[in-house]
Amino acid sequence: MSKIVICDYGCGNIQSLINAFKYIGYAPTLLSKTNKLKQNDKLIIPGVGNFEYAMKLLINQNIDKKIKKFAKSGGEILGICLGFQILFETSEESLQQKSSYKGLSLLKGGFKRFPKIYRPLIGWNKIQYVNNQIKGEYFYFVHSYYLPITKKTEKYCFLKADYPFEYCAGIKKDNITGVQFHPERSGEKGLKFLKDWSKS
Amino acid sequence: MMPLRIIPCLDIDKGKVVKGVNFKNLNEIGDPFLIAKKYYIQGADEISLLDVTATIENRPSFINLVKRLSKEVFVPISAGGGIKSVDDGLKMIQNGADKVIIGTQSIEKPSIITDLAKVIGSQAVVVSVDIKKVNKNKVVVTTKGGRNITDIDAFDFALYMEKIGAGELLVNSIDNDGKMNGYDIEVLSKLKSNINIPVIASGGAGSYNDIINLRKEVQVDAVLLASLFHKNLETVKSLKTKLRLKGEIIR
Repeated sequence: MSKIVICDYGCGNIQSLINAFKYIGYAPTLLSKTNKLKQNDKLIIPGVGNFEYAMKLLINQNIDKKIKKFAKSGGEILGICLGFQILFETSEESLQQKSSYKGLSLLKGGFKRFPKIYRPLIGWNKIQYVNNQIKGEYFYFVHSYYLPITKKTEKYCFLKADYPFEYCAGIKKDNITGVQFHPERSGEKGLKFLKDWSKS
Repeated sequence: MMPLRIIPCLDIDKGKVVKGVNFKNLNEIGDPFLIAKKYYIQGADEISLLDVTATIENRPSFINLVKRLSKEVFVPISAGGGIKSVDDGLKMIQNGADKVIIGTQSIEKPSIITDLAKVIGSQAVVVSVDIKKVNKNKVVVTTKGGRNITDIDAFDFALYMEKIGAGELLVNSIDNDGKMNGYDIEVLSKLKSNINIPVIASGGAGSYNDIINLRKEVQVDAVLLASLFHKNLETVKSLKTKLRLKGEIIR
């Protein structure tokens, strides 16, 4: 069984993630500035809040380099919520702040801001597995920025949400997976998602 | 359209779930851990925990409850009651709550909203406001569980809270709480059209019909329910089934 490692860089609440993994039978450890990742670890990048703030935290602790190296060597990564967003290159959130901070850029593409009337988007949104007949399932989302489905992202988008319009709720490209929702707060379906990813 | 969130709320006093009418005459309902877990299994979209008395002696047991629940309940947990500082709020989050509910302090010390939002993010800051109609044209904010009536206009207050960093607004009508005779649709509708952040309606649901009637007029994002579940008039599951049959989008 691979080891689940949760990136602990000071951005958001990781307690519920730890609880969820323990509940499904794992004993997650934490990645911080002082320790290293091993080849067959499985890394979770969580995160809540601001894009630039999250990147600053990663860079200041040199964790960004560890993640990039791990990704390059084929290590399995799951980004959640803001941890999903920073897998990409840009977000309108940091562009608005005229920030020079880019994301980890493990994936190509950028996040856009929801129109004012839809933000923040808080609640259970229905997602559809692309190329799969499984009926839509509800997961818990909290976000104001979304990944549009474009030429760059379309190929890797395996989950789509349809409210307030169709956008990409999950990406899978080789060893890199990312989801906009919070599987750890999405009831039994969310736990199953984490279980499946951990086993894969 | 996102599904209407159904949020059971547990008012907790000295380690027990209690429920009163108009915030008075608290009746004991039972063990909060078992009750919250039951609502989760029945399909609650979120669980709200409120430390109603929030005394220093009982604080550790409330925090311990949040901690224990977060290990077995995998939908968002919001917790509040007696949050007076950023540290109080942070303590809830560190013990497994996903959101912190701020009541009285949002009026007495609004800067706590901004300060907390900076640390835990706006999405984790729920402002709970107890409102009261003082006359036909005036709805005001109250504190101390409705005992203290201020002259702050409820609609101005809601806008201000959104501006300074609240992520959601939980609106409790003092006139309707625990009476189970329907929501204050007029007030909720005006509030909802004034702000962008989600509005959670609380206080007044006596049956699923009250929720249907509310949603016909105003698209509140969530309903917070206590009496309906505590009195076993509905389970979360049976309520959801009835709402769905009436055409509501429900998870």
